[in-house]
Order: sequence, then C-alpha cells, then structure tokens
Amino acid sequence: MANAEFATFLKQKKEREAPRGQVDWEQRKATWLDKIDELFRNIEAWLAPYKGIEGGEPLLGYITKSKKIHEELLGSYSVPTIEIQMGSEVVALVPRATIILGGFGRIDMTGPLGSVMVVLSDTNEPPTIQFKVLLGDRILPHPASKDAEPTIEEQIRNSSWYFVPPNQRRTMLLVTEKSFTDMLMNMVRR
Amino acid sequence: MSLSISVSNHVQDINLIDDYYRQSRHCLESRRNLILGELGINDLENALASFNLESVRFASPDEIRNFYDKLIDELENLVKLDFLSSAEGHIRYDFATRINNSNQHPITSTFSRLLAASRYGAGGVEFKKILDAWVQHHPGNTDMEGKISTYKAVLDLRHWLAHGRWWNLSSGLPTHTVEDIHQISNDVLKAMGLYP
Repeated sequence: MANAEFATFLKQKKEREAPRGQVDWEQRKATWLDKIDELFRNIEAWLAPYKGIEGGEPLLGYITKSKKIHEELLGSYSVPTIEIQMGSEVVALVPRATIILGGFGRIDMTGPLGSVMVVLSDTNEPPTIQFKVLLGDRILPHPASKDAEPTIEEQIRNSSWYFVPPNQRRTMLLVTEKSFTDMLMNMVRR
Repeated sequence: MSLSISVSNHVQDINLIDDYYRQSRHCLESRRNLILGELGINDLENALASFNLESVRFASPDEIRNFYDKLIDELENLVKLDFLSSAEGHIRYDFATRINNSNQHPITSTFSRLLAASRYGAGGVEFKKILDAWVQHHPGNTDMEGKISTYKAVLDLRHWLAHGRWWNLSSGLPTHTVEDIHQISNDVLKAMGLYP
C-alpha cells in the first residue's frame, strides 16, 4: 500500500526543486481562470436582485465580455471581464495577471472615482519572513506546523479574493456580497 | 587683517560618486532580476517580505519593471546632481583656499574682489562669476574655456535638480546621461587643474 505521506513529500519536493521550465503553467492558468469564473459567478449572483425592473427601469445592468491578456510565462490567453452599468456610469473588472508579486492573481476594478485591486491570496496577513532549517538535505518542519504544506495549486484553490487599495497595499478586505456592493457605491458618483 | 574663509574636508571625490552610481545601479538591477526570476515559483510572500517592497505588492512583472526603471531614473538624477554640485564644491574650495593662502596667481585678486563685493561671504559669491574669472585669467586657453562653457550650460539642470524640479527647464527635459554629466564635471576640473 502506498504511503500517502511519502507521496505528498515527494510531490512537494519535486515542486520545490522544479526549475522554471518544468512548472506546469497550463495548470496554473487553468486554476486561475477557474477562480476568476468563481468570483464572477458570485458577482452575478450578488447583483441579480438589482437587475430587476423597478418603475420601468433596471437599477443596474452588467455584461460579461472577453479580453486577451499576455503574461510572459503563460503567453496570450482570453479572460472574462465584467462591466457593471449603474445609471450613466460603468465599473469594470478586468483580470490583470496571475503572476504577481505576493499573490496568486489580480483583477483591476475601475470606476469613475478610482480603482482598487482585487487580489487572490491565501492570506490577508502582511508578508512575513520565513526561515527553513535544513538538516542534511531534509527540511525540518516548523514546530507549529502539523500538516504537510499544500502545493501551489492547492493554495490557489483555497485562496480568497481581497480588495486592496493601490496606495495602501497592506490593507486587505475580503470580497463578500456586502463589501462588493459597498465598493461599487464608492466607485461611482452619488 | 582679513578673516580666513572656513572650508571643510567633505568635498566629494568625483570617482567615488561614479563608483557609488555603478554599484547602486547594479544592486537595483540585480534585485529587480532576482524578484522577476522568483515570480510564479514559490515563497512569494517571503520574497516580498525580505525585500520590503510594500509599494509593489501584488504588482505584475511589467509594473515591477516600471517601478525599478523609476528607481534607476531617480538614482541617475541624484547622481547627476552629486556630480555637478561636487564639481562646484571643488571650484569653490579652490576659490576659498586661494584667498586663505594669499595665492600669488592674479586670479586670487579677482576672487578677493568678488568676496569683498559679496554681502553674504564666500557662499554668496555668484558661482558663474568665479567661472568667468577662470576664463578671464586664462586667455587663449580654448580648451579650458570650452570645458567651462559646457559645464555652465548644465548648471540649469543642476539648479533644477537641487530645487525640486518644479519648473520646466527651458531646454526641455534633461537629455544628458549620467555618463555625460560625469564627463562634463571631470573635464572642467581637469581643465582647471583641480582634478582630485
């Protein structure tokens, strides 16, 4: 019977030692696109109640489009975008990249009154310095860690979306129905 | 008996400024390349924390490149100012020590008159007048005249850099490279015999 712990260990070791050319970028891209779809489906669900007709006019409208972006490691590929129409103004959500410094991807949300980054991250904590202790060729686990470290793919799948103001990059606000609609109000004129 | 002009020993060596520029630029470029090389692999948060890069947290590779381009631009502006003001320092130091030592070259008399006419001591003597005195006292030295003229032409850039760049330079945005400014500063000091 295969030792699951040993298999996980080997998988992680391979990933840690994988040179850039061996990283499965297609898998990374697919996971990133899945997370965008998941967020956009949530947004559509959150906005659906306001799409109904009130007094003959819908309170808002939204359309999804597609846009081609280019990343050096992933090449050119299509991403979905959303444009949310509120009165005469539009707020757009456009995926920027999955390869970013300190996160697993970023969507830029832009309206008439400004923009905010929507970042995919596995933590809302400020960055910390971590040390790994090597004993021979074995990395000693952190005394506080009980489970094996997740792979990057697992980390991305378990990550959440956070609003991050471009000029206050330590501030991370979890994207929820409430925070999303609050953000929309802040991005258009009253 | 006239008072001696107080001088410091902090006038900077032009060659040290050049070393400083090259080392600093190399460090910035290395750091940029290191970060770009690590992107997408693992331990991104660690890299970020180690480099204290709060202003580019969550930035894409292009944005990181732009950030480092701006840092290098800023380094270059500061180094240009350092070259130009250091050259001025050498020239003013010479002005002061000639007067202090009652140097016998005729230029010293001109310097003393400039000092006497200044309401604010040696620091108040207009720099361009010191440069003009050098040309005036070395007639026929077209090499020195040319080097001083070239140096004077970039003093607008020096003032612009030193005073916050809030106005538009009449010549437009500066086109001189760091190497140009190093050369101009070096040349004027060499032509005056003040090369450190």
